[in-house]
Amino acid sequence: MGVMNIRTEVKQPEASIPGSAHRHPNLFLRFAKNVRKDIQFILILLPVLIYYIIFHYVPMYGLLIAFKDFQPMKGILGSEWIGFQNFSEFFDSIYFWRLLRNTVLLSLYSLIWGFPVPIIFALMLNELKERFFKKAVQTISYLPHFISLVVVVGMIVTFTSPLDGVINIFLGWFGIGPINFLSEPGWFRTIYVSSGIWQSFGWGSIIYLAAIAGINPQLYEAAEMDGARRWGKIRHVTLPGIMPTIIILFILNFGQLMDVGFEKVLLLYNPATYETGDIIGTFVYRRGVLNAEYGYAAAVGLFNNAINVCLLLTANYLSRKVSETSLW
Amino acid sequence: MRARKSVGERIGDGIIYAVMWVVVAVTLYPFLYVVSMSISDPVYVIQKTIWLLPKGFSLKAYEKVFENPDVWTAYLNTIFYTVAGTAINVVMTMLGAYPLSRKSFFARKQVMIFIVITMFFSGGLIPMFLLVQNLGLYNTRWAILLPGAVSAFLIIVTRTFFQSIPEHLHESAKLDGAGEFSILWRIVAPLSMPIIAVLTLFYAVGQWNSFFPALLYLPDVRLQPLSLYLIKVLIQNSTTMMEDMANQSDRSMYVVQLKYSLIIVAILPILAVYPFLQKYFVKGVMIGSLKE
Amino acid sequence: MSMKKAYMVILSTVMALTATLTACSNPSGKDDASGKGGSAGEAKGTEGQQPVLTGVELSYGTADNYYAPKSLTSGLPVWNEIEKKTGIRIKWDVTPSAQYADTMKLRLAAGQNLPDMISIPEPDPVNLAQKGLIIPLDDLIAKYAPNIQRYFKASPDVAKAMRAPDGKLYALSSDVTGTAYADPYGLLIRQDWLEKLGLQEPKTLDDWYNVLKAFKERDPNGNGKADEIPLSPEANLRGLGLFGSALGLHLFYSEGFYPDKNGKIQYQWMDERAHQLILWLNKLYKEGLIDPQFMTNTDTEVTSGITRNIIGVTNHFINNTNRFNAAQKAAGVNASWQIALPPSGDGYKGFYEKYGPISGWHAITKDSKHPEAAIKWFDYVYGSKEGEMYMNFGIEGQSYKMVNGEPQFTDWTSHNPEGLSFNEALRSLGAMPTVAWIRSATDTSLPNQMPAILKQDPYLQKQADKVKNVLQDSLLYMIGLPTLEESKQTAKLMTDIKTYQDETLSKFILGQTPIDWSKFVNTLKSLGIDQIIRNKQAQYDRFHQK
Repeated sequence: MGVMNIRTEVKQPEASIPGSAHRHPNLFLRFAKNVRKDIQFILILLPVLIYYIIFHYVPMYGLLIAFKDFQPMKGILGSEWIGFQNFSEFFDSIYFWRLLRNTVLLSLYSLIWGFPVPIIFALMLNELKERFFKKAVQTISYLPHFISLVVVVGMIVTFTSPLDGVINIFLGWFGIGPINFLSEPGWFRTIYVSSGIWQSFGWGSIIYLAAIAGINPQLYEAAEMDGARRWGKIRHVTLPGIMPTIIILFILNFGQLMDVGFEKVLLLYNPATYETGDIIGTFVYRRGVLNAEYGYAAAVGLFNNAINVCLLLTANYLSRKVSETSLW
Repeated sequence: MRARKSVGERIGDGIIYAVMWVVVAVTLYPFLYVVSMSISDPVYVIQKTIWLLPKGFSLKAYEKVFENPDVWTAYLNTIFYTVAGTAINVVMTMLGAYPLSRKSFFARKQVMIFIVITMFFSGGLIPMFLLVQNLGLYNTRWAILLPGAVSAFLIIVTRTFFQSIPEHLHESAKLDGAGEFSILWRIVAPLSMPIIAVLTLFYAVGQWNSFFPALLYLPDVRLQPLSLYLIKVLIQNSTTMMEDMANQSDRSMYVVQLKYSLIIVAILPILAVYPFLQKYFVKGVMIGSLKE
Repeated sequence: MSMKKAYMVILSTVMALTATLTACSNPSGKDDASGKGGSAGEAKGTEGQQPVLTGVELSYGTADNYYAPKSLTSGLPVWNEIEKKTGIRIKWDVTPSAQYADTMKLRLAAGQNLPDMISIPEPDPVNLAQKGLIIPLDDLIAKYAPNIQRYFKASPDVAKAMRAPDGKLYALSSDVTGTAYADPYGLLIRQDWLEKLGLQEPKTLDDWYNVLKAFKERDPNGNGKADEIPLSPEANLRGLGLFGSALGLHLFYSEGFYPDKNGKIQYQWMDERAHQLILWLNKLYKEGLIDPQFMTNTDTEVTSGITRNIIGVTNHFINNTNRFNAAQKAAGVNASWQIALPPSGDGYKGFYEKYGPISGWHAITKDSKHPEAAIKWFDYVYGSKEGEMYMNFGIEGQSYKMVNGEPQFTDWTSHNPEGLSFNEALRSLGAMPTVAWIRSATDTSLPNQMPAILKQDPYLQKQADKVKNVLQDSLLYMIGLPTLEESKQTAKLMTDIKTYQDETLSKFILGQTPIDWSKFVNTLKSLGIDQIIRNKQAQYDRFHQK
């Protein structure tokens, strides 16, 4: 399969008399005609549309909490409007820029280092011929995904202990003095990102394996007849075959940059590593422990989402220009 | 007839196998550690002197999980939610992805944006909670099955897969007079077994481990899933409140072990079912055999 | 199986399941969390007597039993008895304790279908009171709760601490003043190591330094390896603050806010003495006397180190000495953990701050249809001697028996056959619950759990006696509740302040940044610490006015 062009064709609007009432009926009639043409699609889509309307769009008025002094008795709509007060409280913090920087960097490093790993792993797995070994490795590779965060962090604490942790013992053989990993801000990102990759690459490779499995085998035969060997097949058949998946996943991941896993940071950080480890989510959490006002958390959440949207739009736009795959 | 492998390819094989063994070591070891911790004598678990093999032997942590007969109700509930929930999820995802994958659908860009927006903007927990209560879903099984009926992320991924189905298959089906729905069921879906297997896996695992909706919406113990039951059994360390420190300071020794046995209890069923799904996307290749 | 068949199977399964659960969608029959009334027969009680009511059901929203295997919903003995005595049935609306606060906060924000009574998931009731989600209790208590009235008269300070700034009482709190004396919190030390090395118990900071150094260098665990960790604090940075007692600093429960002799609240972390403390701690850390992972450790890691026989000093409630000794015994070591006297210094008598005075808040919500029944229930459970016997001692004949008119814990409780700890055994019956109750009040007409516990445990009694004269009130014993404005302001400023303070102090101690005290103090000022001090002052003044 080659990469398919999935961009929507741009429909040219009909030439219309400027400013005249004819414009509206045209639009409506065109819409009605389209609906009739694609009625089967609309029916298929109906359960999903209804679901989204009820469970996502109806509750969306909750976004307003960010702008209000929320009183449960008055409800969200009835509470007093306070504009951007909640936002400015967040922006006024002396730590605002640091929190933003830490959030973005943690996510960016995870993306840059972590994104290719499941892909490469899937490609490598695909090269294995012996079925049993292939299945066994694939199964084992995702086990870390199921180990709870508390246990993962507990293991990290044990392994990085400056007194008797294996890592420091190992470094000791080379004369490198014990490093207090979890209390040094300089190490926080490395530990966070690498443990994240370890935990997620196996599970994350599943989508790519499925994509590889969906490639028409005749393409491989054709490539072989053209004299392609392993690397050639990967380059000319496999990679192009899964490229749409790769691009879409990249866009989606990039558009979730601000959503750093706050639970993991919460377990992994401490005041000594706030400098690199304190992210927006953990700061809001500490604030919430003191006095849980929903408006503040909602405002910060909205801020995060707004940034994510911009990132997504950018990624989608660039992707559209550079490749033929994009969300729209 | 395949040509003999070149030196380069053999080196490549060697590297790949070496990497695979490293992967096995790095991902299997922690899992074995968890298993060992869960069956060792609690003293060694507290001491954290276990490295790979268990020390001593004690199934107390597992006993504690299963000693309450509620656990079996919880297990049944989870099986129900997983099967019903996954079925709903997978069907909805395919229904959502198919029209979006068809270039001829006039509203595909608009609907895509409509769905993507929900990935970013959400009203939050309060309106959702109110909605569930007001729709009469509170304290019913529907509160688990409906609010999370489908994932926008997975709709998008599925759409990408559907798009790789060759156009000529659609055209020839249409010439035979097939409607869109039957094309979806008869042609697209069978060719998409890998992604359907993946959807089933992802959704099923999500349902299996999900506890938060149950926590919020299911006060009735008889409806609660295993994940929530396990959380109740596990006494977590709360580091914020001093009063929690005062209250939880004297726990019996086995408690430290519980978090390890819970992992095993939660993952075993998944490991058992997994091989049945695995063959769809590791073996690869159903398409060639379905030439019509 | 062909593809088509597969889909038919899936589809029919879904439909069958849907049909099934539609048929039995609501097994409990009642789907709301609010209280339901049965027949409303209520007899009025006279002063001092327990009123008897019949047929009312009240719902109580709270964290589930701290002994998790026995959920409050499973019909525990204590609650079955109480139901018989009061005639009120409790519908337990419980969530696991770790998730309780978040869940209940959400329900309160949604503001509908609230339980009759709740455990408040916030540090104080002022916010919920102002939002109208919980109701004032004064009138109800005056009309229907003679026991609570009597208790308030006997313990006026505790009663005062529960009032909101507007003078009204919105929630009942668990009085834990007695616990502070029977289960104090302080530095715990390996007494056997002191004896083995021939050391005196340390008094001043210099003594402590020497003892810790000896622990490090003279191999008290006798295994030939220098693997000892002299000091591994619980509660990270906060635990180290206990050493502030040698300089007259109240850093633990008071968190540094403390009135000087003129009644003016100071923030002792800005004091030069705190500078001395940090310098001393830094010196300790540099010489390897403090656990290098002290900033990341949780209870799990500290217990792990204790069980491996390498830790010499930590801090906790004294009942943990039993737990530590038992754990070390199971690992083959006869350890003797005991509480140490608090560090003292020039002109400063050492002290430990008392836990309390109150803990937790319980209220009646606006959605309750039977507030009178609720307050009467509270009157029994919280205010009456009989009710408190259940809370503190459990079931007569099983967890305690009466000996010469005094309750005494049985062996079932103190040496439980299933290996449950003391607290767990009682909680497995439903005692020591997550509702409002009084544990060892100073009001002598109410049962007091702590002397009975100590009687069973001479080891703990000795420790409690050792430090009873050095226990002092923390700031929490001297202030009332904040107003809503004060809370909001404090919350807004404290996040930044605490972030800065914790980060800077930990880096000072770890030696990652050189100690620049004037910069530290000035930054705190610029972050608004003075406003916080003013707020605390207002709370202090209000408390002393009334």
